[in-house]
Amino acid sequence: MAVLEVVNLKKRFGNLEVLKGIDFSMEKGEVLAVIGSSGGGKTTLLRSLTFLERIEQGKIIVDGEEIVSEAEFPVKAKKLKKGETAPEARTEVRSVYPKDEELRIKGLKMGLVFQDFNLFPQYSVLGNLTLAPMLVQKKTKEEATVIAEEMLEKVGLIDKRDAYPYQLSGGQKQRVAIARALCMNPSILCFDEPTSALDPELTLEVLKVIASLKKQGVTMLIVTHEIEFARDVADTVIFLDKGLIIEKGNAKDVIDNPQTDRAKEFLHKISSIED
Amino acid sequence: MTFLDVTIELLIACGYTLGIFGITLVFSIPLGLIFSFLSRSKIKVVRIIMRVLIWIIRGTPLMLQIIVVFYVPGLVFSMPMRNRMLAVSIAFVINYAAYFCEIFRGGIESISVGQYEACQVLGLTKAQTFFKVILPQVIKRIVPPMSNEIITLVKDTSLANIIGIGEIILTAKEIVSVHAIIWPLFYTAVFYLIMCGILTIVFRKIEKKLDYYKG
Repeated sequence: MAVLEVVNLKKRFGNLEVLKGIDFSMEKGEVLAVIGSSGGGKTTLLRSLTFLERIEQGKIIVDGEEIVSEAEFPVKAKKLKKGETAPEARTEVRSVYPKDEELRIKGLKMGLVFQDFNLFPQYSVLGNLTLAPMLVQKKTKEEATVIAEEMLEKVGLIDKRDAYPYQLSGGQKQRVAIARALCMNPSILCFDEPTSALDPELTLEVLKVIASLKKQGVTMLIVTHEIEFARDVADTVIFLDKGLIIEKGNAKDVIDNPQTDRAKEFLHKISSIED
Repeated sequence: MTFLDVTIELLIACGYTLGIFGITLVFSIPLGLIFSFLSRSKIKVVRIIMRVLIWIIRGTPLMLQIIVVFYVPGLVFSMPMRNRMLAVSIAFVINYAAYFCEIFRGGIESISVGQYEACQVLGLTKAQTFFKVILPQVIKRIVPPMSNEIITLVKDTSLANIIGIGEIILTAKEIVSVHAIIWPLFYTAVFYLIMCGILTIVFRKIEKKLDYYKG
């Protein structure tokens, strides 16, 4: 069974159609990288999947459960002018979300690591990691601490458990953010350009952590500009352009052998910069 | 009147000053927080009402507001305000709530959207997000402007003399007119300086206490 299934996802901001019908699925333990040029809809896709944005159409199914489903709604008829006959009542398909309270809990299946970390500055590293488990999952402080320490081990920051975010480097902050997301035990861990706020040296330490999580079987969806990293770590790559998936497949195949002109052009530009 | 007599009289008057100060502080801070929520309401009418209210309160002298609260119920609604302290308290609480509201609003709006989104993906409720994550950061940021406003409040209490509350300035003025000596009026400065001095130290301590983190 697929861990994540996305069906015909559409999202618009006003008149701007950002995602024009996205379909894909992910298996347990799979690492999927979403690449593509800026403005292609990568971040919007990620924000939709983590319920920070609401989609207009499409379904989001996590662990076999339809968190966002679809239903038919009647289209409001326009006011009739004189002499016009009423057109037939039409319906349109729209996404349906559960109630806020339900979505809050169901949404926990999707973890998110932000581009700019968003750690809580007033809490220590341990405090950042235990806050949600205690408030949301009603764990005791002891239970939450055990899990938090386990996750800090995973990202190699157990010695920083009592530090405050301002005392950490960018890479360390990002690793804490990863550990914080893992503490909620999500089905899929999503990354929004996890290294674009970091300098190259710090980038490496974050990428190493992501690679080691893959070895431990964590299912991950990563929006990234790091093409090399996507090829090395991701199983599958989706190339997003102008709100549509134009290439999808095995990471090495897509990156080394793109089929569409648009993807070829993009990957060529990227590699010429990296050289 | 001896120096000691004047000191005792003014110390008693200090009770009123501190009374107004305490009541205002205790009630205007929560009211200011409510005002700041209302002024960020999703309902446009509520926002506009709040904006007008804050404009009126900040745009007119506090002394005038005290007079209005004390006399208008009697003049307009034939329900004379018998309790002077109550009138002063109402005027002060609303006035200071308006100023605190603007400080809170600025503080709340200075917190990045990312903090709210981080809370959302971690499954926190709106109340948990506000009280556990946002408010503590807001408090740290608003301590300096709040200390400014609260020190101003100490001195503003003297305005209560306009409707005959026996606070420090009124008491001193009475001594001056009854005993034909001017120095007690100048002497009041010492009382205000001591109160403001203590507050300055307290706020410095609070700032230091919140200094364990940055951001």
